[in-house]
Amino acid sequence: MDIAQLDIRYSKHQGRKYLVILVFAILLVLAALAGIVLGSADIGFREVADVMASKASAMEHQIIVNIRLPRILSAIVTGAALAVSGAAMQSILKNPLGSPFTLGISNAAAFGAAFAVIILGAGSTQSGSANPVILNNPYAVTVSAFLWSLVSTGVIFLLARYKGATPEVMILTGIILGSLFSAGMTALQYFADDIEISTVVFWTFGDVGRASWRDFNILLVVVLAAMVVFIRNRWNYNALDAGDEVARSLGVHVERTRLVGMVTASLATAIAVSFFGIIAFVGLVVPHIVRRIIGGDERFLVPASAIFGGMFLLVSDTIARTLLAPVVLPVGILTSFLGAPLFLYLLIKGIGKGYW
Amino acid sequence: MHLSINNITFGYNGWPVLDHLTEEIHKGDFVAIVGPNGSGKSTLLRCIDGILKPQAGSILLDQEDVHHLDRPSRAKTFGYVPQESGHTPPATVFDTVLMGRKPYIGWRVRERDKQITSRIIHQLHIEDIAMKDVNKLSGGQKQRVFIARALAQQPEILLLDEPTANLDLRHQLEVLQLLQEVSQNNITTMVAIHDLNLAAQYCSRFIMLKDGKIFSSGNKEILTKENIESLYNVKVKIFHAEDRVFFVPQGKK
Ligand SMILES: Nc1ncnc2c1ncn2[C@@H]1O[C@H](COP(=O)(O)OP(=O)(O)OP(=O)(O)O)[C@@H](O)[C@H]1O
Ligand SMILES: [Mg+2]
Repeated sequence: MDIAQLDIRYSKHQGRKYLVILVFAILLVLAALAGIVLGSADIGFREVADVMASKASAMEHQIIVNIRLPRILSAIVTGAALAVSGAAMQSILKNPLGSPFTLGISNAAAFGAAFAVIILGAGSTQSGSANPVILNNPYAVTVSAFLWSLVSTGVIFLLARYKGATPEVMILTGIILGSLFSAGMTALQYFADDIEISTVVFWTFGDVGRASWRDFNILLVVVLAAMVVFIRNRWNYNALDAGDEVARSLGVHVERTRLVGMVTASLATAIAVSFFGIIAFVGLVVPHIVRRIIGGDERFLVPASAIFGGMFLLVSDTIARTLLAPVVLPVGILTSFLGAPLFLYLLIKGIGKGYW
Repeated sequence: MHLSINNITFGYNGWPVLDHLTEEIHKGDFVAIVGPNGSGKSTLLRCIDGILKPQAGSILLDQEDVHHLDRPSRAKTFGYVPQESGHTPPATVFDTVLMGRKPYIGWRVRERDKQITSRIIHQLHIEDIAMKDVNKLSGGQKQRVFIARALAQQPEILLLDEPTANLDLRHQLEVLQLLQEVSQNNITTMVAIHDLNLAAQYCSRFIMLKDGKIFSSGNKEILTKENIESLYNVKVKIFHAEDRVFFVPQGKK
């Protein structure tokens, strides 16, 4: 085979991956369109067109622009945040269970929410199908959840700086912190009254229905920033795949790359969790699925995980709000139910065909 | 480029390994580092590559301290092939070799990076396996791919840790012949190697390491019965035939 043929074969190999990303993107757009027209209110594409032409009734405008659209876009952005964070962590920690969730971020955020509700008195609950959690002070809960996630990330960061940023140190610290925070949460609940407890429990059911345009904007900025970090580092992550020593000899600052990736993934997840509660398994399962389809090359894995993750959460949320209509399930419940069997399936099929 | 190893000392967490080593290596040398297990061969290669930083002394490249170079420049100067690479995530041979362009890649891979990758794949005769997963290759094929990756760094100095371990007779010869050609193209090549007969056949200079010190260094003349016997603490017989030297171990001392 001569060099020209080799180039052609490599280009084809790369072309297939671009094609996969394109297909994912098309599916995402279709899922978003379906998300707009599906739901308990009777909205069709004509109404959507009316809204765009500003001819719609106030009611239709309200449903499409202020309820469905922020919800759909937030589901996409949240799914993307969770999936890219998981993908990056699995790569830099070389561990199929490496995800911000398995590493205690969700426990820390849940503890933070409980802390705000129970200690700071930030919440009370009214049950209702549309929006079961009414918090007196939702920002206090979000901020507290985020700050406690930062504490968790900070401890992992400091310990990794001190003991060496090896996957083992990071994973073990994350797991230990996770169980510490869930113990803390149990302790807090012991001192809480029933209303506070139910508020905390409702909060932990991840639900993108809480999204406002402002939440979406913040999330979008965070996700884009995280993607820039991951994409900038794609060659560093690819080099880490070849082993730390080889990565060093290729000029990679191994410890710094790990720390930056870890902190970025944790922050992106922390923001998503603080806004919407715990949405399990997306960060764990989506990267595994995507790796099987497109391979482990970070150049493709990062964008593909983002798109697929957005689509995954959007479809899950659409199912969650239409499955038992008019009851709207929090999507966190659905992803937990979907995620576990999906993960088992991947396990049986051999997770990611020889990645771990 | 002229490489000076200048009185370097290295220990792992206070466990001393290299003890004040000094050595001069000239451009285009093909250097064999030999010595018993644990004598510090791999450690020396890692110090030269900059993966490890010596606690004292310096490594100079034409008078410039290697540890003052930034990471990409160092990666453009030294290529490194480790002693063993465990399981790695699936990646094609092409992508693995392209990885050697890492120090040159800014935001995206340029056409030139791909051309260099293709050319090296071609030179090392691995084009037929170029789209295969590296994990699914034989030991000898893998070794070639990793050498190709190091060559894609376009290094001035190539460092290899036991490149012929795990290879069959023919592949050992192939790899060493390849490295000999590389060194003849003025890329200084240093290998840690256990097979003295092969080293004697291909390499032009020898560094004998014992207990973290240089026991002896120089050209073929240092490959004497006495040196080998006290380096490894064994009895050997030495034969000369067809301009070559052969060692046959006789037993422990
Ligand atoms: N990562 C490490 N941490 C601590 N000590 C180490 C480490 N790597 C090597 N050593 C020690 O340093 C000494 C030299 O090891 P090195 O790997 O350089 O020897 P070597 O000459 O390459 O041996 P071999 O022929 O077995 O490959 C040994 O005593 C070894 O135990
Ligand atoms: Mg060694």
